[in-house]
Amino acid sequence: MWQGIETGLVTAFSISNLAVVVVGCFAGTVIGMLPGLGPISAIALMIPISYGLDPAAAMILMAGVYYGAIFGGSTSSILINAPGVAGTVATTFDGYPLARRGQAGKALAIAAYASFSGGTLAALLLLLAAPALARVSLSFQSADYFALMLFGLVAVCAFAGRGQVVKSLLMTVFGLMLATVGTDPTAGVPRFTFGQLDLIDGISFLLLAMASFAVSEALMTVLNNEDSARQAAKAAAAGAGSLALSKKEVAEIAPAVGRSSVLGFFVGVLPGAGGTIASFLAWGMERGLARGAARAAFGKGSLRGLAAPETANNAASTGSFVPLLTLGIPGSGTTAVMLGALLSFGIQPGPRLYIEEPAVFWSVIISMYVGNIVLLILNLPLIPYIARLLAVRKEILVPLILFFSLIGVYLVSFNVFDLWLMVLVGVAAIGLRLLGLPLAPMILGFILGDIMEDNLRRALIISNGSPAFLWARPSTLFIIVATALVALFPLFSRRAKGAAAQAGEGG
Amino acid sequence: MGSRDRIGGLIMLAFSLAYGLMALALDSSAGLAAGGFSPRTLPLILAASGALLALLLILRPPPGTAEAPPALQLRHLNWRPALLLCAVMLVYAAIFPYLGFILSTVIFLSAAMVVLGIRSPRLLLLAVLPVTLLLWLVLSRLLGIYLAPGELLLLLVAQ
Repeated sequence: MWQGIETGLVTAFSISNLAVVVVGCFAGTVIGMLPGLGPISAIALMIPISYGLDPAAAMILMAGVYYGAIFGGSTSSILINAPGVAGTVATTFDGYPLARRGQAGKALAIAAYASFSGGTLAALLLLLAAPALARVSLSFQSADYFALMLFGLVAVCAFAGRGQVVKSLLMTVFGLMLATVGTDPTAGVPRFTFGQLDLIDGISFLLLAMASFAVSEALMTVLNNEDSARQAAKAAAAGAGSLALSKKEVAEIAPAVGRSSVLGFFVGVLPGAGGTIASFLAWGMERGLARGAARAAFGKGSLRGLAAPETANNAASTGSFVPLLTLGIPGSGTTAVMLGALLSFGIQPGPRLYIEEPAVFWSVIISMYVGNIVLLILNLPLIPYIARLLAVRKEILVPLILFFSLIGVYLVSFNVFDLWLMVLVGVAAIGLRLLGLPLAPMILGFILGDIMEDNLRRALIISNGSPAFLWARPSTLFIIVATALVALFPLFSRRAKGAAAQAGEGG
Repeated sequence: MGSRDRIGGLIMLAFSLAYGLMALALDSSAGLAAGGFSPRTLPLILAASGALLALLLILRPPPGTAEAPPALQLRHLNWRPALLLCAVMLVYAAIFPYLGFILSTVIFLSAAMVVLGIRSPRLLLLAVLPVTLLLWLVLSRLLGIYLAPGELLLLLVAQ
């Protein structure tokens, strides 16, 4: 392990990779700050650039973009009450009231310190947890992998929230269906290609990610006629105020940061739970722990109320790398896009990554820590200036986003057919959004589709076509039982809530 | 949410059924290995799961909250510029092979900005030209990526 860490340190601290982290964090902050564009879009927009880098640098770039985008999202949440993504919604509860009181600088500083602490503590936990899990999963076989992927997909849907479980499952299946387009890898039979040679290799993951997120998000801002530029210009003109925190304020938020880091990390490790749930849970937990005036301040500009979700959100993003790096199973839409990028480099994340590509494995973990430092020392002082970018008019921004998405996809395939398909997929994605069908499970299903089919095929061949492979090995059985329990989670939680409501009415 | 869910469910049901029918047409004997796994095994499982989940979405009771019908909400959306932007993207795809990167990108970005309401020619030039030329320089000169100049331009040069 120490040798691996050494390799990772050398890789992560090479001048070129340090530059990549800085550029990634900066680009991520800028993109994440733009309302409507979240970490998935930010990473998707970076993929064409990452193809010119070696795999370790590409992953470092994407990890930096991920962090930067989350931090950027917090900035727009605090300054203009416009969370770019669900993960920073809880940040607006106390961040925006602080900004309205003229304490935007303090709020941004707390967000940065809290994100830094959460990310750092979680990176340390990752350092311990990832190799241990990777060692355990070395004994895994096709049946276990199939079961694990099933677990990941079901978990993403089970934690999707009330009224969303069936929709998420449906979209996961839809993503798996899209993954079957193209030539069947074993039999060589073209499937669902409509005789089109351009579809023989299947739908490009980059195309699907760009069209579903970057293109459709840009078009949705036009459809909804959202324009936050004027408000942002006002916020930028008002100035941020002091960035300094008093000793008393640090003492007030420190315990909340510690608690939220651990909570965020473990929630992030669970597939599907992610930053959104972690940030809401942390905000709720701190509010529950607060007493008297401190409790009453929640939602009105409480420093603790801002620090908790920010810490948990960042810790969860780090935690979500555990299943990606050790099992090769992304736990969220963002890590799914990263998995897709890794696969296109010919790297299969999973327990073998730890052994075969120690440079990639460890440098990603170490550069997460570096990314946190970069965000703190580079972004924080620059935030008032970067925030002015929010004032760029939508009329200019949207065409540029569309252009970068289209050209990004074209530059990978050099096939104009992909541009046509991209518009079609973008329009379909808008339709799905308007119908309230979530797109993140779709991309997760799409990316896992090929690997899942491959493992299912192998497991069935080994077991002579019998479904007994699902319970033949204790490890597979354990994962299948866990999958079943997670699948039943929404039912249990609904019943528990129903019982609590009844008890409340009765009392 | 109820009616919106039903429409979504119906669309996904139709998609799953069509996908299932196409899966049935796939050659079931091709590459059949031990274990009975053929190219249509997974698609058929997916079609059945998709149809079942879509039915669940259609048949589940709507949530208690009152909600305006979807048509009413859709009417409030800014459809015209969004549809025009899609058309501009299609035009970009159509002209790209003929006009090449620089010309088609200038046309695409200018048209998209005009659709969204920019009328000042100075602002258009300032926003479009630097981005296009800078990216072309980075791609073709710095990264050495070959960007075809476009068939139409090649024809003109040949004459």
